[in-house]
Amino acid sequence: MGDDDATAIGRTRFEFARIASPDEVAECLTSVAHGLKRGEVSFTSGGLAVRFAPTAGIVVELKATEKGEQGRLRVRIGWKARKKDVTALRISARSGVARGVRSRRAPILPSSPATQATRTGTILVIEGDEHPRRMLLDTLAAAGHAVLGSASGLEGLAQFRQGAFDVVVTALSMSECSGVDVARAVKKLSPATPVVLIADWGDVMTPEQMRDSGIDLVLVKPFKWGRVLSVLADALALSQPR
Amino acid sequence: MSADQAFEFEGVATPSEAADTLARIAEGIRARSLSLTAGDEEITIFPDGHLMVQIGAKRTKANGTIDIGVAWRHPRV
Repeated sequence: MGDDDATAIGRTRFEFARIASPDEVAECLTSVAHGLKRGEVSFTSGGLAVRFAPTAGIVVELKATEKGEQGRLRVRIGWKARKKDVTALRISARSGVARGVRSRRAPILPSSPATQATRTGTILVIEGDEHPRRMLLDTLAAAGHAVLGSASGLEGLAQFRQGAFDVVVTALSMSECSGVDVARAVKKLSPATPVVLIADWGDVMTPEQMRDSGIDLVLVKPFKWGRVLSVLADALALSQPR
Repeated sequence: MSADQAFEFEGVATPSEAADTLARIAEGIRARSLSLTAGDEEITIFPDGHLMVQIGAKRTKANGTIDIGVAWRHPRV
């Protein structure tokens, strides 16, 4: 950031506003992106530097509007320190009778779809990048699904032929065998198996292209875990119980 | 001028994924045409001319936010 552009600065706070060309704004965003990759984003002014070290668990918020003659884009990147791990909690039983504690009978709740157990299944996750693959596998396993990961389309298809999967989740961009190739092959082998495509920002597929490729649902990166589980629930609802 | 459009998205990302998202937005701004898609939602915006850019960043002990706002006005034809 240029020295003259900062309107307020402190050791923990930075504010900046100016008129800029699209190229200058792009340069600024690129610079922040590089900082995020390095693990430290710096804003400098008047010889002072404010450094930010975003940790894992970043929340990205995007808002874009085009109204009449005016356009706006807002990108917010927020992060929070990780909560303490529950394993740090020590719980022990104590002998003796507690005073003043009455047991309460648990209320009997009417059964409803919301209180019924969510269906779990066997999920094959095909993703060339290790980090998102690991995150997906961990999330799905934590939700009770049986999961198997594969680092390439060809390997994933080999695993699909050998196993019995309720849903296949595949990345779009992979070398040798793309997500579209995987979806087509899966539908050829097992037309009833739902295929979820992991897409990046900017990957646009029309409903016709999705249908022709055998893709049932799309999951867009960056992942929102609630959305991951909801898409998987939708995919399992499409699949036939084995 | 096209019809009014609005788009909102919120997602969890690693620092690397957040960086990639920002880099793609930068590419779109440099190209003066940026398409954002999430599920069924889609918007294409055309940032051009003089852009008003505002950056706010703050942190507490281990939490923080970086807020980047860009606004523009299309010239009357």
